[in-house]
Amino acid sequence: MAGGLRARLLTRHVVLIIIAFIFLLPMLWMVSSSLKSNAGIFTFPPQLFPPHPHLSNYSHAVTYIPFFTYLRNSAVVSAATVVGTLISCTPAAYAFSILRWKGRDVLFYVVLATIMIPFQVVMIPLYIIFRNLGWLGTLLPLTVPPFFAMFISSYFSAGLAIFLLRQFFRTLPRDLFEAAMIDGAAPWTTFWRLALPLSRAGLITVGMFAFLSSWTMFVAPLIMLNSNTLLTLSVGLQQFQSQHFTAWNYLMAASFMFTLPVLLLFIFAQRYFVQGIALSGLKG
Amino acid sequence: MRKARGFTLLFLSPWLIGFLGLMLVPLLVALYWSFTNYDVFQAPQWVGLQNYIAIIHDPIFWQSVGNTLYITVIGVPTGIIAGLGTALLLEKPIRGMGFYRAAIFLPTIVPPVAVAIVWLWILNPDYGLLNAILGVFHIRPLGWLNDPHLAKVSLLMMVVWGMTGQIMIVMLAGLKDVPVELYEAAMIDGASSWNRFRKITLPMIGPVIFYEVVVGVIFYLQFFTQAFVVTANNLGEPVNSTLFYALYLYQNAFDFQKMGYAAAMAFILFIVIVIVTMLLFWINRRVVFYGGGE
Repeated sequence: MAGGLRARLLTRHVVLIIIAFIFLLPMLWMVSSSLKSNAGIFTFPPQLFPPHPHLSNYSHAVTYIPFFTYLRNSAVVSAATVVGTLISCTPAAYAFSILRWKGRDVLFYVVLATIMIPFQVVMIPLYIIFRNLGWLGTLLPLTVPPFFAMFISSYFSAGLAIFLLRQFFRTLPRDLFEAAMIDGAAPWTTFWRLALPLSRAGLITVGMFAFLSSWTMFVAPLIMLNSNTLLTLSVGLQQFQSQHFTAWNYLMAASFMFTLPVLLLFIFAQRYFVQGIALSGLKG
Repeated sequence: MRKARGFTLLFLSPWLIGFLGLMLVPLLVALYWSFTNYDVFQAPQWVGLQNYIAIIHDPIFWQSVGNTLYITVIGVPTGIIAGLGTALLLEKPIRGMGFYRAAIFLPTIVPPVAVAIVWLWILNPDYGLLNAILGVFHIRPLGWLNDPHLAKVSLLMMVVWGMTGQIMIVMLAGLKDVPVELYEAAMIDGASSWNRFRKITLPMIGPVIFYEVVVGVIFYLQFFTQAFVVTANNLGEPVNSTLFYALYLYQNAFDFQKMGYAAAMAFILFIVIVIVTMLLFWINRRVVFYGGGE
């Protein structure tokens, strides 16, 4: 009996190790390829551990394309998205959870419905609107909408941000707010002094998702940024590939640098990731 | 009281402005353009239902619909099975659980563009890692993304790799909510582990599976980024086998400047998503079990 249990535990470990390896392999492969020489990258069968790691690939990669310009553009867009989303969605979520007013629940259905609207539908009019405003030569089409709870990404939307924040606000004890109001606290004070500090975890979670989706978004920058110096990294990486030749080792180095901020965020804030995903998935 | 109402409006205003100006108005404008001929440079010309009629007679449109259905029908169940399978393996405490979970979750945060790039390299027919691994088992190298029969499967591999961890986390949260007493009672009655899974686990996490089906269907119907990146120089290649709906829509709008046609395609997509979601909710009400109360 005990032997059977141990054998089963061992099989579980073996299966899990194989699965973990499969899931980690592509990223290991990215790093490994980023360290290979120009000749080493085109050796078959390939080596997982290059004998002479070429760290210089990283310095070549950042000059092969205007890497730092794109990095700065990505950073500007992401910073604007995080700040804009929090500024526009937090008060809305507060209004949809703590405040009481007529039509609240009906309007909240509208918020939920917006999550369903595919970006492709509004993409063309937004492109024309921003074009007519003369914004296509700037980062404005990506940095302004988040301040108005409009999020140009299919992975995370302002509707979802409002929904998540509302979930956090709803876990706060109602009595607290009623007591504050009886004490004559202005609505602004209860929001600023009570709700916000108590839902810091929610703000961090939403801010993180906003960062993640703006850092990785592709369609909107592809359409809205028409000048070569304005691209974000997710779009700019395409320049490594041409019809005839791809510098795979430099491309892997650049891709890894592009992924690194997200990896670091994941390592330091794993808890918030898991919490946010579980919350959006279950409490619907 | 009036002050409170003003306050509510103030709090809602950023969202309200954005919803009206960047969502509702564009939506209506797109609807109008779908009945026009519009190439960006000249004012839109009303053509009635012409775009919609042209779409119905466009063989490439139907090809893109077929491709999109293919990845949706295969991708959604594959992702859920992978996510649920890994969740079941990692549900009970086991040494190294944190590491295993992190390893499976890690790909879900890798930017889709980076996912596509590294898989493009892994699937390279001449120097790729996957063909090298197959070589160890004496399987001859495959064309993967260059092979019209394997291109969609290749794309699904990278997408499922990047999505399993997220589904796993949601499944794990769902599994945690299944009351232990149910399992204990079933064990006393001598139910096999397969029966316990089928009769207890599956119905109890039904709502979670349903949620993932909805999210998955909506994702695949709009699938774009990875397919764009791997065929950037030749959208939809080989022989249109990876020309998905959103890709063909993009092509019409921004390569061919057929804004009216693209707007009509976008509206068809929107309506399909609404209908499919409603249908899923309808099936959900009849099939999925929701526990009493909360």
